[in-house]
Amino acid sequence: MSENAVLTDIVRLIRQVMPELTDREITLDTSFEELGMDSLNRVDLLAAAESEFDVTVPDDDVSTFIQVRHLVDFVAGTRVG
Amino acid sequence: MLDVYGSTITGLGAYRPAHCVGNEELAQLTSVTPDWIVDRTGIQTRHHASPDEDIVTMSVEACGKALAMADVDTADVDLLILATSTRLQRIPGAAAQIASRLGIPSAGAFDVNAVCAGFTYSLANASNAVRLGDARNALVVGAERTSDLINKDTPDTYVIFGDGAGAAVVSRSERADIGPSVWGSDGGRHAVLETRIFDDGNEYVAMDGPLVYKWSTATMPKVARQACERAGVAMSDVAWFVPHQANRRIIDTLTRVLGFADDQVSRDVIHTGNTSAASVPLALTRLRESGKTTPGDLVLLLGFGAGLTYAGQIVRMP
Repeated sequence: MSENAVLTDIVRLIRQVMPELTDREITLDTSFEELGMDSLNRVDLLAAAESEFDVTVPDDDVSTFIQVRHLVDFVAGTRVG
Repeated sequence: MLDVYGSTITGLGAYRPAHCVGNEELAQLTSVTPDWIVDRTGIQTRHHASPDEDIVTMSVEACGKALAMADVDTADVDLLILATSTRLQRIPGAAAQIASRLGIPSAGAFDVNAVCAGFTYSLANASNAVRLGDARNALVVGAERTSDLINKDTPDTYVIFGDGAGAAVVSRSERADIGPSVWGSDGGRHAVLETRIFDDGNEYVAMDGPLVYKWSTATMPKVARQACERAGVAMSDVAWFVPHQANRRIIDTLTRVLGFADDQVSRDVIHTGNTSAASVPLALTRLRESGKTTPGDLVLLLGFGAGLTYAGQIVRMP
């Protein structure tokens, strides 16, 4: 799965978790803080990503997702195929 | 040789300390604002116990109300289980003192430390004792003074936790009104919510809130569904959902995932905060006192928290 494809899916999940971000541009470099996502919104996003991509985010990594890029890289690097 | 009875909850009782603490009061002591507290936790008030509102006295108050509702004489109580994790005196356990203060002559009495799941663990044990004939009636009380284990320099715990006690009477019955319990633990994650010795030399609660949220919202829906399956009821037959009152965000997510309507779900956390083992019986008592419930309604109880531990079961509302 390409990085762009993962990014497209991640952006869709972000909009599901944060429906108020209707017109906000979201790129690899966007930080979750910029999007107004607090620590629990980010956990909701990680849970959605775990379900969508059949991956598991280790507890120790939960606080390391600062930008959209970090989650895209994690999914692209973890998911086989 | 083996006679198995049914068990049912016949009485509920609550005690909330007199001092009700609002967010404005807490915000003046900490680095966070009232809006931050409400946004993150949904909590508007919690109660902090005074020195004379200890685990024993709060429990006696809650148990007395539960016994009165059940119309059970103290001479007919054979077991008292106290769920608590915040009693600073380690020895002895407090259950025997609670029984004595209530005038219960010689009940079996012991303490359980399963933290926020303590009440649902204890309810399971009390129900089993009643069903096997070890007790005709059992008192289960969750009581906490979490305010002894929080400090204002750690606002994520300081604003959440509160004090109180909630009790239930479990009685022998012709019907099995307390379903089988689904319980479990994950000790590998003990550090996400535990007490530690801080720099001032005192012991306080330390919590990794996002990890607690992630674990509970990922794990508890499965436990809830298993509790329904083991009780032989469909989730759609459950009238009320009374989860541990951890914070509103966890409750809202569990509500959505399990498919309950908002008005089916207890949110006592808004008024009482997170009272650990006391939260489920306090919430259940408030729900019953709201007048919205009918005796016999199916209720899903779900305790979860530090340990990590969890226990859930289906019960019928008294």
